[in-house]
Amino acid sequence: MTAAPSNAPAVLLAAAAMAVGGAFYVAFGMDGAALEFAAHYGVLDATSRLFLVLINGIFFGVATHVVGSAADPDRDVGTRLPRFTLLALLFMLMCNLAVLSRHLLMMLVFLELSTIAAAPLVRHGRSAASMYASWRYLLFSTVGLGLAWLGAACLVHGMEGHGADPSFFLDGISRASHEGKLPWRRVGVALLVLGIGTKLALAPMYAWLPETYEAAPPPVTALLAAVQFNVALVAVWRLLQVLGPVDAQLMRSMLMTLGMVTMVASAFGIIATRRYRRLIAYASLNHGGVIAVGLGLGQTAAYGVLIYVVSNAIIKAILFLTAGKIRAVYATEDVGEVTGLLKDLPYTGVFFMMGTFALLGFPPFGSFLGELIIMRELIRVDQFLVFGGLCTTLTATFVATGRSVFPMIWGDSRRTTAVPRAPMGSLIPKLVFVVFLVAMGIHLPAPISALFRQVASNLGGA
Amino acid sequence: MTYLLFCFLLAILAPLALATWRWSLTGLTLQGLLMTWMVMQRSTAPTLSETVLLLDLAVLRTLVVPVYLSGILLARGAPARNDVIAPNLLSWTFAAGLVILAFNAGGTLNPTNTSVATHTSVAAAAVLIGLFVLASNSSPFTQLVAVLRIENGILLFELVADHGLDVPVQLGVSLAFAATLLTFGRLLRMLPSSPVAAPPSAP
Repeated sequence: MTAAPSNAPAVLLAAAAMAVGGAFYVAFGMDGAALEFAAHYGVLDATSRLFLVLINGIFFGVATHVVGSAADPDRDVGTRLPRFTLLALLFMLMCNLAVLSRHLLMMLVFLELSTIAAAPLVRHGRSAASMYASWRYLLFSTVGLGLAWLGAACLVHGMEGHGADPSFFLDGISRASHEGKLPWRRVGVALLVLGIGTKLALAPMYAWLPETYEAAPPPVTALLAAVQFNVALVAVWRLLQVLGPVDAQLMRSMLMTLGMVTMVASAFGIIATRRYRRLIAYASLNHGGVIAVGLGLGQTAAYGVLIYVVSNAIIKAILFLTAGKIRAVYATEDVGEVTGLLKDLPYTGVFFMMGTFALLGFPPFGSFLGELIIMRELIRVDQFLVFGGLCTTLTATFVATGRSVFPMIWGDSRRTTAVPRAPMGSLIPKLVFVVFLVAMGIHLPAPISALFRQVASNLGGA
Repeated sequence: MTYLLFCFLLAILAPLALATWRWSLTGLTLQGLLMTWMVMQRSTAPTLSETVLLLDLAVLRTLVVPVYLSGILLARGAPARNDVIAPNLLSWTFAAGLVILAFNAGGTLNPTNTSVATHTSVAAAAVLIGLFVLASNSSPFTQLVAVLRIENGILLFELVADHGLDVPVQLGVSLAFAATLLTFGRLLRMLPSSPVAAPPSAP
């Protein structure tokens, strides 16, 4: 008896297409002025427009990959596509609401709800490892967002104690932050950065990331790494916008310190691991560290950080989706067991190679340009120690990643049987991602560049 | 209010010494009950937002949490013993040190208002003890109770504020708490190892 055909693929694709279409329309088809809605709980400004395009674009690519791979015997999400569809749509709804929120607590609530939708997706494969990974992912997220909530409460308590009108709305925080009691404000800012930093996997709360990214099905990992990471980043971006002008020093030093420690931890992880999905996960940690350092520089590096953030999201989507195919074909995650990708799986090999080059910051990819701008700014503001640390960890990451990944790509093939060609539907999204990645390093179309500049100029604490 | 806060502190600390999962859940029930009492003391005519908060505290945190979690543990045949922290002098000294630290922080942050300082201190103690348990114990059930203890500490701190949250926000916070609890509970039911035993270490 065969199962009745499911309409989940059509629903998933249609919803993703509508989401990305809507995001492009609000980003480039509407008047650029900030628009508040839903009784001032929502805001459509440059920041939300850019990140809506990014997260929904990635989601459309992942959805196309999942639906395109449905005919592949090595499909990533197995036979449970309806379950994936339901949870992924719920996850995306919460992520979109978080990006649109201008109320700090509601943003945290939506982030937590997106985590609750993602936790069952992490254990989609039903293995013991994925169960524990899902547990730790949820645990770290709940604690991190709890700390962020406590930070927001401290901030508001400081305003109240000073006679200011307490508010969790971003503009209310921005107005009253000048008047808040200093100790409460500092505790609040520190807890907010630490708490939301947990969702960005910044040290010391990063331990969940390598395990979760490795255990989850590849499309789910792509969603976590390229969508949820950026939603959490929007929260930090908003905080920098409203608190940067008042608490620039504290936020900058915290972000730079956490970013550097994260990069060092990720470099050790990359050197130690022999599993390619875990290696990409540690590289994601490294990218999070670079972004935190860039954010710590304030407005001057904001344009570079944005290019890096968008490139990073695309790189992670390409690499995790490709790694899923490699694991399915070779049935191993050991870097030593996979060689000759370009011969065995030409398309997958090319995508993996391009993704790795972009990951390592090769030109002409956007990640190269982003890193370059961040480094230039570090020198310009005399942060030589951070610059030296950044260069050292990036070099260590480069060498360790190359040592593990390059033989996978160019080594001799050990396979004796031919591998069936991957369906075109699973290749197209990765091809489009690669085109975007290269375009970002060479030439950004004027409307996109204008949006980037608008978002960068909104970042406070210059 | 001070005696309620003192009882709240006891409800945080008692399960550290009385090492059974039933005591851990009783501690959570007491915390929920005490916070409900505090809100009821504060407002004679509760607003809609306070009503949602009261329902969250009295129904969700006081009743649903212990009943739901004890049902899972009984179904999985969990042994009665459940050490929240390692049963030795070092752990207890560390926990006591965290409580002293919390009271010092509360006093520093509120130098003029003793009642707010005590409130802040007890909330900080709940959060710090929760983080300590999370860092030192890898049993899923104990970790979950630590998370709930942290959440209760944060909510206790929120009760210091003169104003409540707006209704949509309060509803969102309660909904997120309920959904988090259900997701944790479902995972606790499915984990291959016993919920009160340490899981195998990650590869």
